[in-house]
Amino acid sequence: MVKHSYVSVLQNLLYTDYLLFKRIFGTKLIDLSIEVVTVIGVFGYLLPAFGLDSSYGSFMVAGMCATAGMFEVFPSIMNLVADFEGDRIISYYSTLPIPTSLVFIRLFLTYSLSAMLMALWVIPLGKLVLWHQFSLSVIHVPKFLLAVIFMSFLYGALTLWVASFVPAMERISTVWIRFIYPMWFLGGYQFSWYVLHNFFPNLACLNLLNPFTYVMEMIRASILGQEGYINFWLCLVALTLFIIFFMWHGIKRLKTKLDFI
Amino acid sequence: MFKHFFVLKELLRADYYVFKTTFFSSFYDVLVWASVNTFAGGYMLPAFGLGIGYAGFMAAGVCAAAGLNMVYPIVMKIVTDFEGDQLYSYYATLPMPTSFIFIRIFLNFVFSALAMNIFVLPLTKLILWYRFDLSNFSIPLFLIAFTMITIFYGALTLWLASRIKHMHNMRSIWMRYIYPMFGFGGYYFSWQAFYTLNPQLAYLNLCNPMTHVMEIMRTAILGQPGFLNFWFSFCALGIFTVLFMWLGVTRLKKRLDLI
Repeated sequence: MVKHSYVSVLQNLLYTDYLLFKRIFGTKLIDLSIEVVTVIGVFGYLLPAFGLDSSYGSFMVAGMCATAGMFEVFPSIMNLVADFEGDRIISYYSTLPIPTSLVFIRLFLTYSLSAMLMALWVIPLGKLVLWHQFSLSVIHVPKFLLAVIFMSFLYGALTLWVASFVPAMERISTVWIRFIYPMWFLGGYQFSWYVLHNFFPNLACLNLLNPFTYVMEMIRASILGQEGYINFWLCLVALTLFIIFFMWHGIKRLKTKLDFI
Repeated sequence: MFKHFFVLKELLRADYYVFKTTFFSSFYDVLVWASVNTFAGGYMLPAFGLGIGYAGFMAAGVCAAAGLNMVYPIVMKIVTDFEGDQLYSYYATLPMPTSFIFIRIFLNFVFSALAMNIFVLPLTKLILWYRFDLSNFSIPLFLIAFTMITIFYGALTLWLASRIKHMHNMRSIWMRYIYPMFGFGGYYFSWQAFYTLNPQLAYLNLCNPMTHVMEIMRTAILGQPGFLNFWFSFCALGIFTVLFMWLGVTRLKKRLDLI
């Protein structure tokens, strides 16, 4: 009975988030579309004219699909930190008849769902921009959906984890530039893990500790086929471990930071 | 008039003390950003068929774009102040023209960016080494280009701050204006290469200030052949700087209700 009431409160909180998200969804889609069209346009049409592999456009569609959710991480961290420093609306949620961890699980679910919707939008958009260059027939739909779900969960968990480390609003750009940006860029936004391995084997092995490597490889394996990428199921297992770690450590640190029981 | 400049000088001196305390932290951020981009552009993209010469081309692009990386945090700081503490209203009470409030922000940005980004070029050389050929490098042209680009970014900062109504609009402005300007502005390709592909779009791209930012820096580092004339891009950037400064200061004064 008590557990049922927890679910009911959580459900209502998520519904509130949904209503708020609906208001800004259109703006987010326009922003993302402009970014995706710019990147895919440059890598799919301009650079192949200068010698870049002609399949690189499709490669970047997969990369953008893996990145679209990541674009949600920074603003979400910013909103969380602004709340911690300002209105502290989060303290109100701690007064609700739910365990305090559920407050963070609700944030995790909201961020994950938002990242998921953004990632799904990239595929039809990529197809529209590249047309013949990007074949939808090679997409393994069940694997792709699984990859998007796990990727979104990772971004949700990462948001909580990083927010627990940001000491103040003015340090937020530093967190972005020093941690998230290098992890994302070196995690294979513009190259696959095997390409990195050909050039720098040691760095590639070190990069296996980077969760973005698995996000990129898993999404690309499901969209472009398994060949040339780290095994899909291995990526899934690695991502699960990262999600569990980020969730556990993030919630623990946030509870301490916000003085929640 | 002399008194006005004295106030401005004192404000800049205060900024300098703040800058000194944050220099190493900000400098480290610049190094991380430049290293990541140089590594990806210099080693990874050539592996996909662009050739080894592309590494130097990308390194010059990184040198040109480094200042842009500093624009976002500064704009964020300005907009946060407008929405929060409103420190600017204190500066408006000082015995100087209100436009000096913004000129101070502009100068503070320019001096900070000049001090930090000058190290990006040696860093890219260290990372790429023999892949980055500096035999056509011109020190005077580089210094002129570097200063002009930084001044332009300073003006762009003011213009962006004037365009952003609320903090939550920031990302939209970045993704809708700055990113396409940067993406199509030649970070990954030269204007002449774009021209061979589509002359009409290439001419249209001359209205994009980032095209001139990239071209002027690449000319200074890699030599004139293959790029827009250095002085042409210099003049174009000068015009864009004046335009952004004027628009930025006018709009900010109106928005903040300053006389």
